[in-house]
Amino acid sequence: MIDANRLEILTDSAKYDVSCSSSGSKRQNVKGGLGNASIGGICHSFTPDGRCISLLKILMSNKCAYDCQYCVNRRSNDVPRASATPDEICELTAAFYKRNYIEGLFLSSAVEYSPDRTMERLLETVIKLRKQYCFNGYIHLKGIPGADPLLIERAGMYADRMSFNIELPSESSLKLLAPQKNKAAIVKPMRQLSSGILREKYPKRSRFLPAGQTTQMIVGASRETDGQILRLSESLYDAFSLKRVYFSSYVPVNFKNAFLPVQSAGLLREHRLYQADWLLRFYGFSAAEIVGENGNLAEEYDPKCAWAIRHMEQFPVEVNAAPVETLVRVPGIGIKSAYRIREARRYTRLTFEDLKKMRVVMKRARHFITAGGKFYGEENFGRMKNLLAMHEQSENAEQLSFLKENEIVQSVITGQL
Amino acid sequence: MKTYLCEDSVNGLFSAVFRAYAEKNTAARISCLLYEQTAFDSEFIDVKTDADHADRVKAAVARYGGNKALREIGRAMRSCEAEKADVIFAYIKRMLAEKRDISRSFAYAEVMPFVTLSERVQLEVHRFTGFLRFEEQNGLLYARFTPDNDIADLLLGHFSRRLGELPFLIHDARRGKFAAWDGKRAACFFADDPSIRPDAAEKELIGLWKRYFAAADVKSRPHPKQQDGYLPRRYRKNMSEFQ
Ligand code: SF4
Repeated sequence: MIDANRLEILTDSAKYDVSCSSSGSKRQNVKGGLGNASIGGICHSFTPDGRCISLLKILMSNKCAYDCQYCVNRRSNDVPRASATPDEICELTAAFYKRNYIEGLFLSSAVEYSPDRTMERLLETVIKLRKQYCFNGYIHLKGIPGADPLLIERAGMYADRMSFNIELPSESSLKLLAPQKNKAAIVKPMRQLSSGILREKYPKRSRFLPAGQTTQMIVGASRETDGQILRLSESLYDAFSLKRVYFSSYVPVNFKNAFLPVQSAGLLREHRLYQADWLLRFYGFSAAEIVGENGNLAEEYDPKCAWAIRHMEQFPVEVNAAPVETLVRVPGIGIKSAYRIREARRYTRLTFEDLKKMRVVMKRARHFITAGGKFYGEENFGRMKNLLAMHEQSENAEQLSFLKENEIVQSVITGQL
Repeated sequence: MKTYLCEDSVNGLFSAVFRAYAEKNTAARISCLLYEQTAFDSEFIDVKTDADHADRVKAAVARYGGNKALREIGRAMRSCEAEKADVIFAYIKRMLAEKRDISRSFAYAEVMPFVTLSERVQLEVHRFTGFLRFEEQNGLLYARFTPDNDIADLLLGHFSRRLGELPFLIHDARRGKFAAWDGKRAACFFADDPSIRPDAAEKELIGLWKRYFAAADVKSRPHPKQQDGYLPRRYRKNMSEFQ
């Protein structure tokens, strides 16, 4: 079994990758095997920074040949180094999994010697875990850009999900802060994994990357606006059918490079980006609707509320008549509430009281809807904006947890994310 | 006000529903609490669980709400809420009055309280698929927990699929209830606390997990409020990383 010191080093170096989800795969257990995957994902614990632990997130090695300026593991940084063997990783994963500490493994690595050599090590480990340890729990494998496409394709046969991190939101930032990396090398494997050739070779029901691919970009290490970040996310969703784009607020780990900020991007910015991402994925908004290209998301309102305030000509909408796609655009009305409204109005002409009974949160929504022709919002635009900003402020501290809780609840209710 | 007192089970509740209808007392309350608070004008009627009566209510519920309604009532009965029997009774009455499935008529006063009962139980089951902690002892995986709702056996399916041939024992220490899996069959029973404690090897593994948990935290960005929201403090006393 791996010793505690190396475990600590390899965990410490892996934790800045924010993706934690274990959703999207229905992998089943087999006779004599250990584990399965749960389609909605499962959170196993939460650390004091409020993040979830779902997978054993660990590096095989943090001895990096590269020198990305925003990264703790960069070659020029003076930190303790360690690596683990494939068997040590497998043993630890199985032991933690049996005790229900984790949902599976998130395995990544610094670039030790070369991308190929590193990818081979990662691949060797997941094959061992699947075949020798008969492990059928969730595996998220980080891909190493620049590695041989055949290695990458093989990895997809054993992992549930893979991710190649886009790292920074623009090519110029990449050049500045991660000189050994380039956008083409990162995008190439993403394209490979989403390509029609692989889709044909491994039809949907096969076990090839059942939970698809995701990516992550670091926010706040470079100067891109929220508008640029969201446009990039949107094009990534479109081009590579990504399951998810993660935003990782830059945590200062390098005080020597003058291009890097000494403070981390605020939690609020990350939160707003996740809210906007939610609007892209589930609410039918486009990046252009949410924020102008060179603009940033408003701090005082959530992005949906900010959009609605800019488009008062579309409101109020009548809850007894508006289609679901319109209802979900009303501030305060989420997907679940919108569907509840659609179901309930088949039997009853809905009044404000009914909406309250149905636990639709009216604080924001009342300014944007009518129920049976009646309006209960604030008529004066200026006063309405003040009210909305006030609600937002009083809720913000709680709200930072809104997205994740919603995910949990939603996965419970619908069995999917 | 009349109150039917019944056993804390689906059949107990259905027997009380049957009596209320048979005695034309559908305005009465139903409770499955052992110690019901006494109001000075209340009259208590003890209901013995009667399988035939329960079956007749079950058939009526199934006629309009299908198996889904029965499943949801079963789940709602796992709730620790004091008012659950009454909430479910109100739901059944409305369904029988309308003679149709009312599960999606969210504007009815009887629907959301019922849906909430069942959703809360389901949320807790989901949470414990993550928060339960097993300790290995001579090849047996043992997990002690104190859930709000009566859910130990609702976790059996999830963990038996996942752990396959590994035997495990889930112990609801609040109710003295056990859900067990021997690698092939499942069972559910009540018993005394077996006082299973981790041995040296297990303690070492718990130590590794605690080191992992501590190292995974980004200490420069504390957010305890969010941690408390996702992982309520009352659940932590059986989770090794918090000991
Ligand atoms: S390649 Fe760059 S980002 Fe990855 S571990 Fe090395 S220094 Fe860090």
